Amino acid sequence: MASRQELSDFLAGVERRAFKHAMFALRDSDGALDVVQDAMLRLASRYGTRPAAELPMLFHRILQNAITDHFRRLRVRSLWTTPLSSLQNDQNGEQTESEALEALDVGSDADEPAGEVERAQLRTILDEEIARLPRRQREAFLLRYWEDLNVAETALAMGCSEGSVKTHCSRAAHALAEALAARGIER
Amino acid sequence: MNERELARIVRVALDESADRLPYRTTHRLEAARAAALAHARVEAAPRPAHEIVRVGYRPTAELAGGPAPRLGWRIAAIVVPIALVAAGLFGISVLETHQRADDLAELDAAMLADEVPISAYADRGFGVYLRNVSSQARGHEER
Repeated sequence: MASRQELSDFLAGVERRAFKHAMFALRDSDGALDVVQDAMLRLASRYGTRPAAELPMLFHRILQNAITDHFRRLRVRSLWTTPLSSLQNDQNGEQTESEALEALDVGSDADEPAGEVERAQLRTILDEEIARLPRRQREAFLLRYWEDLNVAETALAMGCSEGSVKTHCSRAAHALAEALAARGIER
Repeated sequence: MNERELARIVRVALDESADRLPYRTTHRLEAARAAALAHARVEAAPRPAHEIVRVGYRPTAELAGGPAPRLGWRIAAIVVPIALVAAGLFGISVLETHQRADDLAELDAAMLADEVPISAYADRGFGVYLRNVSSQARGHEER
């Protein structure tokens, strides 16, 4: 059973990565923060007593559900707001897109040595390419290789079979490698 | 670049990226964590593993910390009002039917009890009707 300190440490360790997960899916920093807050609240209020080893899988399952819930709410809201939003000019849309990319590209190149500039560019390119992946491929890839969940845990977190996880991971890796190669990054 | 090598590159880049989030974001994340820990239920009994699939789809009342109502009460809360409304509508329908029948009976009685006005005898059609009625009555008597 996870103690309060273990739960706190887990949330502190995962919150920034969870925000990035939500940002990749939503491309809206306020929405991503709301989703992460909702996921943390659900985990703490319902599953805070589960063993510490189960927390990562549970949290990511909750996070994926919270993202899905957010998309559902957006879809319902868009039924009402689409006629109104069509009256706004395109400039607002461009600003929103650029704000989302700024939130993903969190590093600043100014006054940084050449190596650091190169790394900042790599981070930006990776953020963009990961955000372009299909949602399930991105989730599988990030859970396996960034969150270090094994195939079984990833399958539980995503609510799919282990075979699907392997397929999603493989496709995501190929797509990312091709995208990076196309942008001149091959190591 | 194989899958593992790519994963290593991505992991390093994403870790760096996550470490460089703006202060506004990290501050809000810390506040969200504090709020979540304030709602943490440390003494509650653990849930069975099969409930994992339902994560994230619990009623709001339980999220707020209150007890979830029993299934029987939830069903009763839906069925009882519907039954009351249906019974009310049925009662109104029966009353309306009776009221209408009473109105029609009253109207018929009033018409039958009323004397035929003088102007009716001046009407040609009424005269033809009377002749037909009286001839039919005679025919019945002769038989």
